[in-house]
Amino acid sequence: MVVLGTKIASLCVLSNVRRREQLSSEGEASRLPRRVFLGMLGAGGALVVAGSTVEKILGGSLLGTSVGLGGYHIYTVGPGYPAIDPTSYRLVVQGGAKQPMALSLQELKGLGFSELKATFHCVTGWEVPNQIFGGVPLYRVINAAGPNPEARFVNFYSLDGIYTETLSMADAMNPSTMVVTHLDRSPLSVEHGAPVRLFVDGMYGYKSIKWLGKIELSPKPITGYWENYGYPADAQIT
Amino acid sequence: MPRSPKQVPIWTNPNPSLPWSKAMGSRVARVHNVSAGLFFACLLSGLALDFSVFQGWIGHREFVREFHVITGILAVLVGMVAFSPLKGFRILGMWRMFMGWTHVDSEWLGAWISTFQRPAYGRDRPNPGQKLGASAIFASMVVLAATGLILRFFAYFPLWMRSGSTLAHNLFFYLVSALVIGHIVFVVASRDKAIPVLSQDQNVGDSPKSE
Repeated sequence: MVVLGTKIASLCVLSNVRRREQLSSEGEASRLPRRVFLGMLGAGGALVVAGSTVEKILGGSLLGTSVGLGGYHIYTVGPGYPAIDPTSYRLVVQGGAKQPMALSLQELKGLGFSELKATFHCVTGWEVPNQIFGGVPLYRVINAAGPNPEARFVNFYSLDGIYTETLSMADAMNPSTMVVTHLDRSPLSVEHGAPVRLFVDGMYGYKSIKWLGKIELSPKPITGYWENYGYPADAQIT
Repeated sequence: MPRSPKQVPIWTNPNPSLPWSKAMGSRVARVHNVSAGLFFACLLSGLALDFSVFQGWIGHREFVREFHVITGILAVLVGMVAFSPLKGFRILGMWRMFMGWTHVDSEWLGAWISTFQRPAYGRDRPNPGQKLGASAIFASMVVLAATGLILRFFAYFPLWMRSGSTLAHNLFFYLVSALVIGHIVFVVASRDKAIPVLSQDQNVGDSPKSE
């Protein structure tokens, strides 16, 4: 395949080179390798400039479907994906709360299941549009726990204890910030953070912690996992 | 008086009984092998970064990301820097050797395409297939390095540029993988000549001469 592809590509350029060489003196060099080099540089530059538009036209799936999962590029910072039994799962809500809780999936759903249609944006530049996130708006969970007045931040911890994130109380109480259990009307897969993840609409995906285990209401923010590696704490999509 | 670019010496094979890559000396073979090893590690870590199945097996994204960036930069730097100090040889001379193209090259390419047999070619310089492959790989490495730096330091670039860089980086990853596989296929196909060159089991010295 590689050989055949190379030959077809060579055939395309060869006729042009021969025509050019007939016009020049015998043995005079053409610039074919240089043209290949510059042409590929130009193609790379054009992709950088127009790639965003191309991805939008194609629904953000040009490469996502080939390398990822439903248009997503799946990332994890731990050793693979954590295996979590949904029957024994509990979402812990603690810290500056009048009523700390450990919610099962059923209890979580009992706070009021709803859906949100939104685009998932990764900070590295890819996005997956028209995603239906099903779950419970975070403000309902926070209200159920009864936040103390000094709780101005909400900190999040993954079940394996590796990944952390934080939101201001204002962002956490936004109705479009969701504790997600379903994606496109199916239960979350382990790659997407099953059984429970966060989705913060309007912010880059690194705020949307997967395999969510603990929510802490706090007067102070923690430093999120990627913020430790230089990511901006303000993840508003720009 | 400053020299024009055309006066930069092109390395020529001092020993026509040996292929050009062999006659360049063991240092070039070592540089090639180290650079190729780093580049291969970079490609593998790229797979681990972007393919979901590998993420599930390996994880540790920030470590793999840094490994990917460092091996990528080293692969390019080793290739460029290590060639420079060769006696009588300059990186620009090597560039011109790969970029030079005459009617002989066109005829070679035409014969290869029409017969599916590799025609004979002088041993004093890379054949046209090697020249075109090198051009494509050089350009791909520039694109991958530039877009990779944008992705690594994304905070300094607008979203549209990050999106475009992601697309370009991924597409050129596939392209350069195909080129590397093609390169390996041709090496294996002519292993009687190519493998001894890589392993440098003949001693021809390390001092290629300039024109």
